[in-house]
Amino acid sequence: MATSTWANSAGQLTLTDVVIGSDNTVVTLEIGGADSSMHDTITLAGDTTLAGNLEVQLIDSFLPQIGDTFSLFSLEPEVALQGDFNDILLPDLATGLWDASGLLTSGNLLVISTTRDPCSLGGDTSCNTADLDALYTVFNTSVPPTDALFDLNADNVVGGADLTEWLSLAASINGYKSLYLRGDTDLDHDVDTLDLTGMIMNYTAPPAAAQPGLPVTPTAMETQTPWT
Amino acid sequence: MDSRPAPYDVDDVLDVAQTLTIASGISATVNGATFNVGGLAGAGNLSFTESRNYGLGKATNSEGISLTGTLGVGPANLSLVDADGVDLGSSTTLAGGTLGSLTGFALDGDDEISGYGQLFGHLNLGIYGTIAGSGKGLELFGHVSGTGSISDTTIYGNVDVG
Repeated sequence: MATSTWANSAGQLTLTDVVIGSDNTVVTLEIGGADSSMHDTITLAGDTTLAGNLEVQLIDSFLPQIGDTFSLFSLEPEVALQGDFNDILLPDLATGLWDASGLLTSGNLLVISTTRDPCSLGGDTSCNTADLDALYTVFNTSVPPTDALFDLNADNVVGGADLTEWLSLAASINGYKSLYLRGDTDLDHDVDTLDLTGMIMNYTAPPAAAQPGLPVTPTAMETQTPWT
Repeated sequence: MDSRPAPYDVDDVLDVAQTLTIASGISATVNGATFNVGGLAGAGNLSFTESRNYGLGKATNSEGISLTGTLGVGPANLSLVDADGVDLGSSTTLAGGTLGSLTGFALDGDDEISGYGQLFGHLNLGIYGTIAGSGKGLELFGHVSGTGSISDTTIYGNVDVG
């Protein structure tokens, strides 16, 4: 007698040089908890061609929470991934939003907050220059691997648009009716000589500037202070 | 069959309604045009060498096909019939042939299906099942469930991990 019951538990499947040959295929992964032993995992150990849909299901009455990360795919080095899922079907969440943007790169499915908190970037609860310092440490990076916390406009890139978003949100939270201007390095809602003094004191000439003819890469400070 | 020395060759016709049990240590090779049995069991080795069509088992028999040994499908087209699914043995190999079951296949432990050819029917990998295509690779036309590993294979059905 065969035990041909369908899967309804966490498991691990390794695919090596496998082709999903039909657009009608549904690959189902189940999540019963945040621990890796409580959700399905697919290890891509060799070149794999994807097609069809990916469907994620919740089992064992599990309710994902904001901050949960589920490593559903494990991509071993040198693996070439071809094709893509036509659609990724995700279950409804009681809280937060799914972030599947890195599912086929980092392999992670995240639960993120529905509202981005610009004041939390620096590790405290107030909107201050610590948030800007933290933002610049991940400037011009992709989400993931960078924490989606910094991607204030949810375009999967941390960059100038997020800085603009932060200057607007933080000013509003701090009681100002208009956004902080670029160049307002002390965040007093005024670009003045104090800001200029601070910039001069912190200014570091880029090494490439001493070599005529080479392009100059702006420093983080310069990026923040174009009065445009 | 147990009383005869291995290997045992079916060169012509074997048509029996009962379950054929191939005991451990026995190897049987099917070359003939007709090989009809009501069921198939045992830990021995059964292999097919000709590109012919064969149907084994009964739709009313829940113990119809329950192997723990090896099945060499070779170039043959085997239709296995079991009321509630076919239990494949430790090793099932294809060499251009096809293996079909309307009620599906199940692997147990570290059972393996290997070679090249086509599998028609849902497949439960169990916990450590292995699908290892080679050469032209394997093609799975049913749904695949369970955990384990799949290599050098094209999947046309759904995949349900776990």
